[in-house]
Amino acid sequence: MGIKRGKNNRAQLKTKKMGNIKNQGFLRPRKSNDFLSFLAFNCQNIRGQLKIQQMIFMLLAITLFFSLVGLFFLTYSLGDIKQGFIDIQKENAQKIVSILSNSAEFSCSSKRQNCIDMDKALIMKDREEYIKFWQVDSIEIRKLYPFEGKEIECSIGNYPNCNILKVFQKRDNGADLIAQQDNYVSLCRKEVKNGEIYEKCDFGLLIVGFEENEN
Amino acid sequence: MKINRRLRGQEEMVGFILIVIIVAVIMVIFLGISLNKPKTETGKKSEEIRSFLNAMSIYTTDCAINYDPNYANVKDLVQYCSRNEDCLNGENSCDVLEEDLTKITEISWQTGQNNIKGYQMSINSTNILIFNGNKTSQYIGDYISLPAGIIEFKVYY
Repeated sequence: MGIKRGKNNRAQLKTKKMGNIKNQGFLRPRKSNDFLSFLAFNCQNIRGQLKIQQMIFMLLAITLFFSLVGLFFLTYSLGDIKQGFIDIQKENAQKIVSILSNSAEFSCSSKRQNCIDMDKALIMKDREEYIKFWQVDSIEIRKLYPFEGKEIECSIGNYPNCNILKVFQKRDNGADLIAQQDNYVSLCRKEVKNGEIYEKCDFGLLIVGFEENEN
Repeated sequence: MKINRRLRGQEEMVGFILIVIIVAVIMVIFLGISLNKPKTETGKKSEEIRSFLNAMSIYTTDCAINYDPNYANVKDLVQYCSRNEDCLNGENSCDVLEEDLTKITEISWQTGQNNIKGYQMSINSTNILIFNGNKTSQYIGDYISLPAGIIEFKVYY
């Protein structure tokens, strides 16, 4: 007896198999022409995406390049502005020193410019009433020429055989001063020789110390 | 045909890199030209130099001309030097003037410090010319007019 698989049975078996396959969701590859066209379509999609990516990359690179160039240019041009600011600060500080050297408390009686009366300056030494008046942190007068060979601080006892006169200093330690400006001045005093009074002027420096914010 | 399609993307990349290189080269050339412009001698007046000259002109020298202790300051000594007069102690007024001016400028403007490359001082009514260091195209300078001449001073940076 047994089941005889004739042609009809074979065909039914095939359709059964086909149904199973379809039900399982297999994409049955079609003929070779359809497969190639499918591949070609996918390739075109990928090529377009590649082009878009290339364009994005190029735009990003150009933007980065020009931003770097712009940054470099800004750094170069702004460097001049900073130096200009420092120069103006220095100029203002020098003007303060110049005004101080020509003020009534220091200037020579003959009203010459950049002339300091050392006799007056010695009297002004450590006068606390003037500390707030000048609005600076320190005032120092230094004789440059002729130079005695070593630094000698002036006092009532050794004047005029000295070369550094510290008129006043707000801070105890002079090294804490943040900024100093100086101006060339002549240091004049009265001397007596052969019973005659004459004016003797040396060459020196007026040094003013103050905080940077006060400029 | 297939090979050309593959290489097209690479061609575009090479082209982009070439453009970047060309632009960079142009920028470097432009920068080089702007930085290497021949600098003409530029000078500007300085308050510091003016103060220096004013203070120096009042300095009392050791040269007495008419009587002792009528010591001459630099301003007066320029006048005596222009007339080639001698001091009471026998020294020539021009020698004393030159010596004092040389020492004062040496102490005040030390070459090698604060970017100072050199300095020059001249007095037009005398043969005095004080020079130290090197001349450069950048300097600051000023002058003062005295009854007997003009003192000109330049500091080179």
